[in-house]
Amino acid sequence: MTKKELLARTKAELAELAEKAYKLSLKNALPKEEMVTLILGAATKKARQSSAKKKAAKAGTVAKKTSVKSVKKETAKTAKKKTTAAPKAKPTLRVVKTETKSVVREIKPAKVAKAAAKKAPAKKAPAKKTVSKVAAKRIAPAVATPKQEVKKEVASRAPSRPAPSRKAATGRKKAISTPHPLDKHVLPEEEAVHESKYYVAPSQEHLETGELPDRYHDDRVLLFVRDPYWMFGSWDINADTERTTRERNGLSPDDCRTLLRVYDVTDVTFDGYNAHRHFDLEVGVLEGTWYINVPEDDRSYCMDLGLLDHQGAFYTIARSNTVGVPRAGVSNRVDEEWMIADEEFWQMYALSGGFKEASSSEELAGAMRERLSGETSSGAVSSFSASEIMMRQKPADDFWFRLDCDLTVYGAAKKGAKVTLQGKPIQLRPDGTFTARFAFPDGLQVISAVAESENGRFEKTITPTVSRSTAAFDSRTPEEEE
Amino acid sequence: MEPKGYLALVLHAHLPYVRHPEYDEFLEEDWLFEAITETYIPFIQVFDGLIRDGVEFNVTMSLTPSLISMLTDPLLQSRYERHINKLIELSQKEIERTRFNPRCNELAQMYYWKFTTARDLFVDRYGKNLVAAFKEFQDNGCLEIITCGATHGFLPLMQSNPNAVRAQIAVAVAHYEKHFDRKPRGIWLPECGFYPGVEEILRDNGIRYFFVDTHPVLHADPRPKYGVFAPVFTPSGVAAFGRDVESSKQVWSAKEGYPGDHDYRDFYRDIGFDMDFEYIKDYVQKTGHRKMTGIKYHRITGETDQKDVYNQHNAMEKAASHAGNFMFNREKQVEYLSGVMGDRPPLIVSPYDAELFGHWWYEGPDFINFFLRKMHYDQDTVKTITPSEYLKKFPRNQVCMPTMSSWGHKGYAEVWLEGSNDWLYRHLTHAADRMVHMARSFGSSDNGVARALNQAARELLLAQSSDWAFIMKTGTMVEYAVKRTKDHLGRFNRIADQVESGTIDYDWLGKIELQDNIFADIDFRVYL
Repeated sequence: MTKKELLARTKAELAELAEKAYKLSLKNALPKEEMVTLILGAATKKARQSSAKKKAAKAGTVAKKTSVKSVKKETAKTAKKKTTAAPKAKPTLRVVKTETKSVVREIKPAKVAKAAAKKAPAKKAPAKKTVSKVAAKRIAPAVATPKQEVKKEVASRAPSRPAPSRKAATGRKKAISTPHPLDKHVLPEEEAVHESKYYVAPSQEHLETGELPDRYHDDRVLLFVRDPYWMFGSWDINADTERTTRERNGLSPDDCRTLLRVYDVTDVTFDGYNAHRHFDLEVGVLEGTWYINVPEDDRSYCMDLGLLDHQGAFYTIARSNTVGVPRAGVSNRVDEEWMIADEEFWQMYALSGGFKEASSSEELAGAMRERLSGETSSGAVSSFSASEIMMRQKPADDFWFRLDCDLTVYGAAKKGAKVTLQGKPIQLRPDGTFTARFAFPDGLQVISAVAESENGRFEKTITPTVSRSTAAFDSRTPEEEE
Repeated sequence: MEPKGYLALVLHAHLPYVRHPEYDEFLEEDWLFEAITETYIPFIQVFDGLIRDGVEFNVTMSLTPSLISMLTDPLLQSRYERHINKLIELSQKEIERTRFNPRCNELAQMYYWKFTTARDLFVDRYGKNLVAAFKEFQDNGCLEIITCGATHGFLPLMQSNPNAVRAQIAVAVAHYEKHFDRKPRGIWLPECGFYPGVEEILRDNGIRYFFVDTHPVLHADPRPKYGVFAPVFTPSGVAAFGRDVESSKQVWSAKEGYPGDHDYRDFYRDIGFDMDFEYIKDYVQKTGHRKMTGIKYHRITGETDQKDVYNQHNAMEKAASHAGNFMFNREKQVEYLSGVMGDRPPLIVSPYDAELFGHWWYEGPDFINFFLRKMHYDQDTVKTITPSEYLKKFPRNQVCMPTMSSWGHKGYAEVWLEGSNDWLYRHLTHAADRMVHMARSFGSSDNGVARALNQAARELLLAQSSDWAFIMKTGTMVEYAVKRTKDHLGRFNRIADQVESGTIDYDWLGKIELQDNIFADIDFRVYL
């Protein structure tokens, strides 16, 4: 269909055509030119896609379906510009396959139970599998993966201390009723002010969005620093790489276990053998994530994913980046040029941190540790957190109930009349009717309504008098049964 | 007369880049509109008044590149105009509706006044570009504007790929130069996320100072002589300014802080939620769900469900008294500290989220207004100063390395790295590594590839925004944060696949460029 032919149609016809042929919904507000441009664009695209599909089908791959969304005026205009200024296009256009997975990971926010971050010697660092999978409603149920096997392993081990846990993901629910802001959970942390930036209304459902690849198989081991005593590790080893390493060393799968070896490599250029010490984590899988408790703060760590055989020999498969966990407390070094005596230093420390000045260094260090572990009570060293503001505003009783009254006054007068309510003019609709709505507090309201005819010769007054009084009371059922 | 000490007031203004041309209206764009109405415009009005009245003041303000991008985007500007017009209309209706309720009626008129002056300032005075206002203040010398990470990425969790960190800084610096006609002297590290090593990247980009929380300075190596009351130079020469707890506590803390005062306006009792649906439906979401409008009639009152009506006069009196109290406390603090420190006047660094003032604490900008005036007229002990000015006055400072840290809960990375959001980082790291690899391998190819690589850089930067991880943790609008992450990483991966296989879908690329149009001038070579 040519542009000329399309322009000859009415807007309604064009809208229908767009919907039927290209699943394109065009708003009536768009000028006809725009609609035609969009239809032509969609037609070209469709033609390209079907030829690409044919080619891909030949090659044995599946073309990725693109969804067409309704386009707004602004983008329509610029889209027009873009199509005319075509870049040096290749003669054939193949739609490239991207990895589509049959499993969907559903991530839900956790009501996180925070672990107290205290020092803990970690010969056997507690493990935490952090990824769970859930079937999406439209796509096939989750395929069992190594991750789920790890879950079982973790459960059978007695963790020395749980790392932050994540609630199992639940299915997506349609947001039907809007929770009232007072129902919203009180943030246990100090991010309320930060978070109020993002609070406009409870989250609504939006368009379906694509999924990220489940795995990269890129033989990467990654280390991230969380705080002085915790790191987060992530690894994704290709099965082939593992097999190569095993076979190169004459090992069969039964001969060895897969584990993470964490090295203390502070102040050394690590060559694989010159670490100060190391500890192992039996992860048993080639892909996963782990929260790693380190034995000492202010050190550098590096991590291998490898195989340990029955003789205790370790074979590295892949190595991570090196990271440094921060010092948890005060440095032992004092600058000669900027000398400060111990006592004065701790005085500055107290003043800087808003602590009680007379405290000893142990007390101060302890108070700081408490603050950083999030354990401060609002009585003692207060955290400068706005979540506590929110907590204060929480209603005294969890159960709340509100009621208010508005008053609607409506009427009609002959066309052309002028109407006032309590002396203030009120706008009439073209048909002579009017509606006014008022907040209606306790007390008496006298609403004199005066209508004057168009020619000014007639006047009528109607005066409703309304009164409101409100009684409210609380009753409580006793907690115990007789 | 030289003051006994100094106060560096720092306002950090940031919102993640939220722009949805594919919809006529979009709920999350309200974040920007609310902040404009309740924080940015009120601050502009405050600074205006101070200049007009000859009040001397020095304030440091960070405007993040993503926020600047939104404030200068024509689509969002016109949507804000639409938004404020609707609010004006609603406030007019409210004036009518509250006719029999004089206390609410007074407030409705207040809102009408505030909304109309906001619109006039926005449209007429600054031609819908608020960044121009802040630039004017900087050019006049009373406001120092510093930059931030390009999309507010949490840098300590990116450190495995230094090029990715470099890109966040370099793109920010270039963007800043474009909008302010000069180079930024300082930076607000996103969430004060510092790790040893990042200071070298800052130095390489000409940045002279940054901010950290309290404990990274107190735990710095070697021990800092002046605690947080003087900056320290990192070994690379870039200065670190540590946060003072006392002044923070007074504003942030519920127990001892100001914003929770019973006379101040209650954040949650908004007519968008309180009113009968039939009345308010045109001002809430088209889907039928409620949302904040910004018109609120109640004050905090206390720990009760029964909120009293807000009384503006009382609230203003309270704000003024709190401002006086804040000033008094700073004077006492400085007097005491200068006695202890002897050879160096103390510097108190007080950083806050800008949106705390106005959006969260409605009377916040008035508090700042009263405070700066009182500081100017009522005392000589403490003087407000910017970090740049301080470093000019006191160029010799101790060299210490602060510890890796943030100003988030618990002081390190846990907020952004825990059960709800740790899954992000393998994807973000993988994408960053891939971006660097692509920049190296395909960088010299033709313009079409360059165009694709630039867009890939945009998608990566948008995915790296620390706001998504933060939202996932706090649980408010999680679906949106997850969607944004998946959208940007998905687009990135698709572009990367196409670049690597040599067949780029320019049609699709054009669409994505329109949608994710931040940093028009970006050059992917920042990843080299």
